[in-house]
Amino acid sequence: MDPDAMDTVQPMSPAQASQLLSAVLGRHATPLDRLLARCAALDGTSWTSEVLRSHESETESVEGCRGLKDRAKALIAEPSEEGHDPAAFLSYLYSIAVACDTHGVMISTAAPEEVARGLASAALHLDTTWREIFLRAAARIRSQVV
Amino acid sequence: MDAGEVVSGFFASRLTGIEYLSAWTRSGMPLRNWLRNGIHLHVHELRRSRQRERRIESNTEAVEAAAEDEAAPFERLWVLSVLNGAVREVARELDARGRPAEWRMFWQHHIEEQSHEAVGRVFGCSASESAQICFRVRGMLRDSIAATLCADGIRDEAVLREILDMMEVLRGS
Repeated sequence: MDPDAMDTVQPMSPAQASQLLSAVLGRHATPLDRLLARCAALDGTSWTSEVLRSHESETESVEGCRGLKDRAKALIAEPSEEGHDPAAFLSYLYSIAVACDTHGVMISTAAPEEVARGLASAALHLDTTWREIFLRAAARIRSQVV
Repeated sequence: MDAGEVVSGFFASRLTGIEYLSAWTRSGMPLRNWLRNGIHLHVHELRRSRQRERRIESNTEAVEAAAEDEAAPFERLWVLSVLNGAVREVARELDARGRPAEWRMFWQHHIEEQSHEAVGRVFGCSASESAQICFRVRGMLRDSIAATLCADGIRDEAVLREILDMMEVLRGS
């Protein structure tokens, strides 16, 4: 059999390629890369909306945002063999975004540029409402008005 | 640097001894595929070297951005080429072993984001069996990617870093 004639697999899209690399990297993939790979799946946008909707009521206060952030951070700190939990990292970013955009408070001690980059990258995969919250938060953090 | 210089540089860097062609004979790949992969990596190395030199000579953001813009489309094509090659190899290997379903299980879990429970229901196995199979296929993919990188000169200890860089290239897509 001529291996070059065999073509049982179609070429991947860049989105599928990032998912594949995330799978190969497993726990070595960063939480952001794992999240972006999850968002790249066909149901990515609807999946993000489902995750964020489940946390809306928790983020009505700064204390609620802090609580969500701390719980998400605990999950991120213990990745499985398949890698970091993308829902946990999205929740982590969401808590920071709402605290910043809605309550005017920066609740993360991570490097501001790193946080802003995570928010801006994730925003591209979100529905409009959530996207604006993430982008406004990223802009505020970058301009250091929080 | 024109295309002719790039090709000459590639042959000069790879054919100083017999190791490169010896590795090709062991690979079992057609020579055109071997050389094509090799020249892709050579151009990739040249671009990264030029980017490092530009950073040393001039630390302006504009220069870095221009270099990255220039390299970005090629880098993405190179990453996709490596991954598509690895996927074909693993799918072919599983097919040859009479286990084509394992490739589909891996795809459904890692690309279509189906849980191991859901994959197990479709393929008639338990969730833990699905997890074991996906873990094994993942290892085959990682080994195939690593073999491609090592065959073109990446040291074993640098393979993980190289794969992380590939992820970063795709993030810019």
